[in-house]
Amino acid sequence: MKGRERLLSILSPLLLIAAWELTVRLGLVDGRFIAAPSLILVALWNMSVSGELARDVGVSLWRIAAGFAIGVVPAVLLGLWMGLSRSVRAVFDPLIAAVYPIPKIAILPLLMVFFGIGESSKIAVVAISAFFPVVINTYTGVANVDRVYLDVAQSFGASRALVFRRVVFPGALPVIFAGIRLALGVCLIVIVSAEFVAARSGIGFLIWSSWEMLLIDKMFVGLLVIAVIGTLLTIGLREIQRRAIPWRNE
Amino acid sequence: MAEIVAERLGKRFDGGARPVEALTDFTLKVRQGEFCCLVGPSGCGKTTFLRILARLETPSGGTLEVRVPDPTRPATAVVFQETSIFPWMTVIENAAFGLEARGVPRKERERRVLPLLRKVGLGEFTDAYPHQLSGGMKQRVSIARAFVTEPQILLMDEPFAALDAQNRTLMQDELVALWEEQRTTVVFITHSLEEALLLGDRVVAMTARPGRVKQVVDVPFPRPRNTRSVRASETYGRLVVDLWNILEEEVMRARAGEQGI
Ligand SMILES: Nc1ncnc2c1ncn2[C@@H]1O[C@H](COP(=O)(O)OP(=O)(O)OP(=O)(O)O)[C@@H](O)[C@H]1O
Ligand SMILES: [Mg+2]
Repeated sequence: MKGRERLLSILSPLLLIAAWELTVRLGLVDGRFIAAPSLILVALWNMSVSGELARDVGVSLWRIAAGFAIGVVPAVLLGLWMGLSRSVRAVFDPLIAAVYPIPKIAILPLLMVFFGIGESSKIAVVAISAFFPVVINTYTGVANVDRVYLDVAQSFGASRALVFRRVVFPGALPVIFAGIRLALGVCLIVIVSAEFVAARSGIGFLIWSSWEMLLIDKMFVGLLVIAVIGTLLTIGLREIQRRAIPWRNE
Repeated sequence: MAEIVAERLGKRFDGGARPVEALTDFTLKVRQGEFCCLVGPSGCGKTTFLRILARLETPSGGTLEVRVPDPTRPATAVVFQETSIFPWMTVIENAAFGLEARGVPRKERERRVLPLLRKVGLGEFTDAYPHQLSGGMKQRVSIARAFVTEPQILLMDEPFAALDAQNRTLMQDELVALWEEQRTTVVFITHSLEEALLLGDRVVAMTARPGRVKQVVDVPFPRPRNTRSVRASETYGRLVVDLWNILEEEVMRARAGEQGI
């Protein structure tokens, strides 16, 4: 980016925030529903000092991390297996096709029947949400590895293990990663929604309860934090991807 | 002695809407150490024959004998028509894949691959990924990958088709030089009659689909071959015309087949 462009892209959000502050201060919008940026900052400070924010963020991150791990790992394994074996695919394909379209948050009540109202049901709903995009991308990734690469491997007499390790898996990896990125977005939505309705902690709970009590500045802190978390996780994932798939670097 | 004896070979593809007869009564003998070029109209079954030789397809009729004397060396290695080096491997990993598949340890692989990569002008690019290479460089990796396994039969499917004319000339010279050191049996597919005459000991002209051998032309130019003097010779020009006379009718038939039926 040229200096001028960089300046503009730093300036524009600052201008927006200033305009926002001004409209609230001048009473152009109702301060009960839209908190001024300065008040949000104050609330952010207070909540950080009191430890309230760290607790909610920590709980949500834990649910995302645990659910993500529990969902993604078996999804990749099953996806690989389905991609490699037509019969395994024939078994699981219809099941996945049937369950995939259900918005995962809709089965939260059912999960609470099985897992109770504690942490397990939230982690389970995240895991299930992460599972589907990853399993689908993994097996499509494996199935769509270009034929010519398999021909090359076969023509050189590569063993099945080598074909998998050196051809099929790396060939599918970009598509698997696309699935993981998709899953991350879905998981953020799902955890916040789950915490809206069925939790006493977490960022979703923070946003929802602040709204109910009309603590609008705290609600905005929740929004700010979830946006930051989403951005950081996306950047982190992109960095992992950059290292795992060096051949895609332009 | 590594040689290929194809007797009334046939190949039908039954997969699609209509079965496709790619080869019928394809009879050809390729001698040990021979550089055999295969020319014919598009879709006449050249690649199909090559894939049968590489055991990537099974013939649906006839017999094929591939006699290879040395059980310790791979029977065949293929340079594919399309770009076939792995995007996720560096140049050196790609070039060494054939050895890796045969269980050669890493150190040994590198020891054998490096000189060859240098020879084809990729010595500076061993750790590059394919997206950083030009089309010609990619094809050289693919050729190195096949050569380094020291196959008893080298199968090359239009390896230079995607190159510009100048690079193609350079690569042809490189291939002649490389081959004259090893003298493996080569089956080389090309659309270019000129290329076939420059490189080959014999040129096999095929009919339109279903492919058969129409005529075999012996190439009189001596070895070691200097492609420059071959190009300059009168015989070369005459042979190109002769070959075209043999093929023209088939190319027309193939084209009519595509449009009409
Ligand atoms: N797997 C396949 N399934 C069905 N038909 C096939 C298959 N492979 C090749 N064919 C058909 O067999 C015929 C011969 O194909 P082949 O690739 O051998 O031609 P070719 O001589 O190599 O052509 P080109 O010069 O264009 O590469 C073509 O009509 C092609 O469509
Ligand atoms: Mg072909």
